[in-house]
Amino acid sequence: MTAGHETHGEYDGPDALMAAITGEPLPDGAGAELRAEHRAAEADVALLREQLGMIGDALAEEQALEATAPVRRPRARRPRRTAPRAPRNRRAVRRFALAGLAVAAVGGVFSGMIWLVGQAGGGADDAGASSAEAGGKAADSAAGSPFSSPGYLACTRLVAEGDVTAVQRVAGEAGQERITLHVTRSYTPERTKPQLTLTVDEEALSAPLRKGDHVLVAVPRHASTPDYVLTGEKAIARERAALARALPEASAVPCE
Amino acid sequence: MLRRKARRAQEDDHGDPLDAAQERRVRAVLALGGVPQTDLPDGVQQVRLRLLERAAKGYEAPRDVSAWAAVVASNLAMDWHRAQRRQERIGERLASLRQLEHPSGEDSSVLSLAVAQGLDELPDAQRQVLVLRFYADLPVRSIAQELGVPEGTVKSRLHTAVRALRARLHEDEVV
Repeated sequence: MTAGHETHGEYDGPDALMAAITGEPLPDGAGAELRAEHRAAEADVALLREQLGMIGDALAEEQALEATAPVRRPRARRPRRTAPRAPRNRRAVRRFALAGLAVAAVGGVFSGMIWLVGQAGGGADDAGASSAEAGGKAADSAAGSPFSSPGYLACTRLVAEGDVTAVQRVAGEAGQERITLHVTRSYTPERTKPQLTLTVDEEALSAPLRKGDHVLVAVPRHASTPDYVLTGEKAIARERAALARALPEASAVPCE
Repeated sequence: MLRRKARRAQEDDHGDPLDAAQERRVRAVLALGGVPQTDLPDGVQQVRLRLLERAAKGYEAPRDVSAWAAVVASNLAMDWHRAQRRQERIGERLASLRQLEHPSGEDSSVLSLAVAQGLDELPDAQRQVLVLRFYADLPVRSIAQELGVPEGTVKSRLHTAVRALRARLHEDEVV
């Protein structure tokens, strides 16, 4: 049967799109116009097939940074405590930016995609600025930390403070803990979910996390686990000051 | 006899009726059908269970386990919608994913989002056949046989669904 023989529903007669969908040949007498339509339809169908494959594979993966979803198994990673994170792939950044534009264009609302807004203002810098002024020396002492680096911050998808409300060992994963964080302050993005579940490599911790700990965490854009988990009010206060200075600059720094 | 049939249905050395690739495919079909991430493991288990039940009842193992599992998964997604009366907006879910690697470049995420959002807008029955045709790569005839509907119905649903997605892609000037 050729595509031209199928008559059902909303199509009738020779149909280039149906032929592309079913893989059936066009009728022998198909004209140039129909063949051109068929080529275009085949291209679109091939694209659709490819995209469904990509979307399906992506959706089949588990998520790491999700309030309730299972957490993706992270790669083992050593913490970076002093050096700013290495620049990341520019193409990937642009892809992400375009993805954000697409969502905005259709009016969609998505809370999971963490976006660096980064302009001075909002919740990120008000208290931090006063902290920087009041604690000048302390702030200086944090100058070498990742949070003082706009380049590092530009490549993070989450920088937030919060209280640990639960700690669970990840079954079957040695050296990993799943923590639930009640977010008290989000720097990047400016707003995030009030409860986050994160998988933390124990090697990223200077001491085991406990329920009630106040922490400052940073998750690189393309990582599934924090590469920085800081505990202790004094240490976090120093980083607030560093963040207050570096965040405004981070908005102008491409993550490359 | 039963053991032999069960063994035929079990493709790996660990007694799991689904191998890793098949499980991944099932997860994808469920997710494309709008089943939320948190329910995907349950869906996969359902498919496993049905495969084992087949063997336990003495039925021959499906000739193509992957295709069979994809159809079962797509039906589970439909049942899930009916029971839950909600579905996950996969466009939003996709947007939340950090990476969607593709060699053709940065526009691929825009395209993927447009397709995902188009899927969200499709009626369940159209989305089901679309996923089976273009993700699971089943022929129209097989889809019709597995779903118990005429081939013309499958074609009609596919035609309408693809036309809608094409229109969305071109309206958005994604391609």
